[in-house]
Amino acid sequence: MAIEVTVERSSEGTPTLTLAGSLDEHCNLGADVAEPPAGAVLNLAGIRRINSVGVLHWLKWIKALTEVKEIWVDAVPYNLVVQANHLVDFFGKAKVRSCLVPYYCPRCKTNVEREVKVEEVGPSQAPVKRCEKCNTEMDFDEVDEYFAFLRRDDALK
Amino acid sequence: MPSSEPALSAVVLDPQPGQARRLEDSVRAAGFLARPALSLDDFCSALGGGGSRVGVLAFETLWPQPQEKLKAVRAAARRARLVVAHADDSGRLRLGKRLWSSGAIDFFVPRSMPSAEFAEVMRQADADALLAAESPSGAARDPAGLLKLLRGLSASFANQRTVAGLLRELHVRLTSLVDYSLLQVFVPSGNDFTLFVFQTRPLAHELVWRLVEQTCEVLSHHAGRPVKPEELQIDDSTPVSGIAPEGDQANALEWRPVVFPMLAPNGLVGCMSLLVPSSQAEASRPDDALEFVSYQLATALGRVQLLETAARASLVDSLTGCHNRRYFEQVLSSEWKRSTRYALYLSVAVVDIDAFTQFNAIYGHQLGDEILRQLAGFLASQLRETDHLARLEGAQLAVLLPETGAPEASAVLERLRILVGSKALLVNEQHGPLQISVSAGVASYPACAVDSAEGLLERARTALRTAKAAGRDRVCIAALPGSEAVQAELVGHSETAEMRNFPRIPTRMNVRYLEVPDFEQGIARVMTADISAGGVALMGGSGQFKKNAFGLVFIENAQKAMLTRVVWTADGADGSRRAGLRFVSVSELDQMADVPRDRTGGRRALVVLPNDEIRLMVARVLRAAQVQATILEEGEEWPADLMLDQLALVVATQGGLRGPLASKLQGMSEHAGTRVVLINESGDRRQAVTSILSHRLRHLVAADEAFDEALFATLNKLLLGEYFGIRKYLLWGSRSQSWTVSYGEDRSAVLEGVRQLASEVRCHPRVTDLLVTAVDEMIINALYRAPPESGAQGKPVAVECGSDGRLLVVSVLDEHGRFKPSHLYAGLGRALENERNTIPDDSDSASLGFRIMLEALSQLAINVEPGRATEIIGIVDLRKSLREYRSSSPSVNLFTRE
Repeated sequence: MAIEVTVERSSEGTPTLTLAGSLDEHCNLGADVAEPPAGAVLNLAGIRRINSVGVLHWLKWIKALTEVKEIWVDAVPYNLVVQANHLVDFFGKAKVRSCLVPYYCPRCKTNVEREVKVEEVGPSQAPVKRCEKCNTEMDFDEVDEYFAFLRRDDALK
Repeated sequence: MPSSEPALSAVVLDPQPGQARRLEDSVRAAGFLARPALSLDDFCSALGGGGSRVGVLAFETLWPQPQEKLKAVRAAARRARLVVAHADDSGRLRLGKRLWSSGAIDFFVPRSMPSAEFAEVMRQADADALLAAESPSGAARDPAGLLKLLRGLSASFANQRTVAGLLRELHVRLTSLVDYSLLQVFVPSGNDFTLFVFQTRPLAHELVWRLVEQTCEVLSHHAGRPVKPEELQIDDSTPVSGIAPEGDQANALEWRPVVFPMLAPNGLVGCMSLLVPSSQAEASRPDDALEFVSYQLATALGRVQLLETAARASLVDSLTGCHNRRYFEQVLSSEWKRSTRYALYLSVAVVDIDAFTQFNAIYGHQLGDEILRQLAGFLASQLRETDHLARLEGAQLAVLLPETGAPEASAVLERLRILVGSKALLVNEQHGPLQISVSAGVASYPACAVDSAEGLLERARTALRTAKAAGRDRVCIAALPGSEAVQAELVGHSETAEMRNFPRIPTRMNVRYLEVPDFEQGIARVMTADISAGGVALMGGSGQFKKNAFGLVFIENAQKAMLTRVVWTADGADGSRRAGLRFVSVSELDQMADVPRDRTGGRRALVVLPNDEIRLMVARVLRAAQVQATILEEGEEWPADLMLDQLALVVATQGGLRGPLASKLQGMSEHAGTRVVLINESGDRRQAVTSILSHRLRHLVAADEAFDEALFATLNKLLLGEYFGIRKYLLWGSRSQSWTVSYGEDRSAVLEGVRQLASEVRCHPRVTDLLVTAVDEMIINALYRAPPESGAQGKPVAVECGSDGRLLVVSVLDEHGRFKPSHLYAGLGRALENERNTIPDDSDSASLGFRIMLEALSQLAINVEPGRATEIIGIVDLRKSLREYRSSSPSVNLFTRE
């Protein structure tokens, strides 16, 4: 199985499905992931790889799922953001709440990913984040168009 | 604002009279009548009453419980727009931004915002509110999204700081608002107009040009003077979707033009024109909405143009015309980050005119200013394009030398010092020739062991003081903390001394050296002493190495030759000769004598290029490859005796492929031996790929900084007929690894191996992520060609990855021989169609795969030998920054052996 799923429930009972693994020709989302209820959250932080076959699997699955249910998406990783910037409706009608954003600490010289909530993102601007180790303000380590999918897809809904 | 217009008004919340006086002043300066409200209730009633459409307040007046208060305002005045001013250093900023993001606040602006910008915000707020008030008709047209989008425009435009950024934002927003195939925005620049083009799908060239002509007619009418299409400056920073195959005129009937001149009180500020579907029903036509957008755009354009002009002016020193201290500090900061991050050398020099006070006292300040101006101009003319010159203060100029170590920087400054002292920078009628001398202090990273950019600049200043104290007219190099700066000396040949550093790797490899173009010396077999991305040091030869001679170095295990030039020679203790050879760009071959005709092997090429610089470059490459070239300018008459089928090569740009060459190419047999190489000047990969498909081209070379290398590699492959293998792309096989993968096997180890090598050669982590995705795509592409009859396993595919520190090259080779060139063209074609951001259908993973590869790579080469093997080669240029990498177009080469 290419995708591993863990389920947690919040105190209000909202289930969060955390997906991990690769979205490729080996995954079968319909079979690997039990259909989440309406209001569920998909946490995608663990998806480390996606290829063209996986993109098609994903599109079919998420479109069918969100057509009938309200679904929230958290922690969209870098590789999925790149795809979402190329394909309209990459998340179907799901509402993206946060994505993983690459930062670089100029003092520690380390690359880190930080989860950024959609409301923190200004027009074409990543929010300021500080290094957890040295408290230095980190550099946003991507191009300005990184958040284009949020504005575009949000505008369509 | 013309006095005939009714005055606009805004309600300003002022709970303690006088407290909001500055805000009221700003509102008045923006051309609005300020109506003070003494309480929040008054504020709500004034806005709800409809007299004013805009409410202005200080963020602090909403505390405590700002959310509740904003809710109350919203409930009372649903259609009004709120402009909230905040203190720049307020700790409450984060909450304010959140409220702005959630829509509770419409415009969240700093109190320190310049009045011109604040005026634009106020006008946009008023226009936005006006639209909301007129919403019933608009909402009926598109209740779901139209109004929301239009309202969002003001806020998103208000945050843009550049014209290009503003128009990109317009394009992003507008694609969600209306369907259009082409958006053109004409922006005045000086006496001309700059044309920005955004396409959402391929179009016939004639259709694009017709819209340009129509818009020029409208512009001419409003500008009161002729605006000619051929005089437009075309902005090429924005990729377009491509030109549809010639002869495809069907789409001309599908689109209708709409043109909106953008007028402001002080005249024409530009024009926006679009092609929208002809078939759109009358009721759903978006023209009204677009007109509103053009109004919004006009005000925003005026604002960002003002900002751009101010930003440019704020970085230039008015006396010398070179950059000023503010610019220098900005560029020093960014170069410092780059150098510390990527372990690159960085040098700073501070140059000061000696005894400048005395010069002013003797000759007067006017001549003092003039000599300073002349010095700045002279230094600028002597520095490289990548260096930065700025005036710090008084007679002090600063030079920033990226990727330059201390010895090379001091050599540069020493050369400049000698040149300045040896000539009269200024000749005055009264005083005759005036000479000066300069002193300079140089500080370098990492030699100086400082931990900040400011520290580096300070060390350069300290070294300058040492130079002054030691008697002036000298260059001193900053040393480690605690030790004194030392005086620089210019040692040996200036070219050698100034050569900027590349990390050198000690290595022993067998190489052969052949001087060109005179081959009398024969081939020398020698060894490398060390090698870098910039050159190679050889040892063991006898008399072969002549200073400044060109030569070919064959690195045996790299299966390729590098063009070099000898920059230094020395005799070793054992009597053997040592030499330093710089890898040279083919542009330097101008200094080499012409290749005689009998060495060309009878191969001929045709070059049709518009640009002198590129034409010269291609001619040089062909001469290096010993091909006799016929060079034509675009539109030049076709020589009667030139037979296309008899040519080995045609090299042209998009423009060169129009006219007679295009028709001859169309008529050329698909199996003709002539290879056509397209130089992609526009930087638009989609446009180029379309051309490949429509003109039967297979070779596209991006005209970027590494253009000559990529073209040289492509022409070499074509002329030698050896397509397969990655080593042709590498200077030397410094590091390589290979794997095999079979169908059904886990390929994580291979991808991890590629990731690890990328990390070792300091590939940017984000670029590595993209590369690994592309390699995964290359592998599944190969695996899925395994013949079904051979079982699920099929033949394994071979993956090879190598790097020479400049390029990271990955090859995936399968020997199934099932990849047909026609499939390749079709896949690339579909990849192009999917650039419209549409979701591909189930059968389209191949085209999606190609697109993923194109997005991730600097070069994509596909070698196909039908029935035998297919190799996909992906190349990442490690020298590019992330931003350059993500915004540049790849070279695409399809080598097929028919």
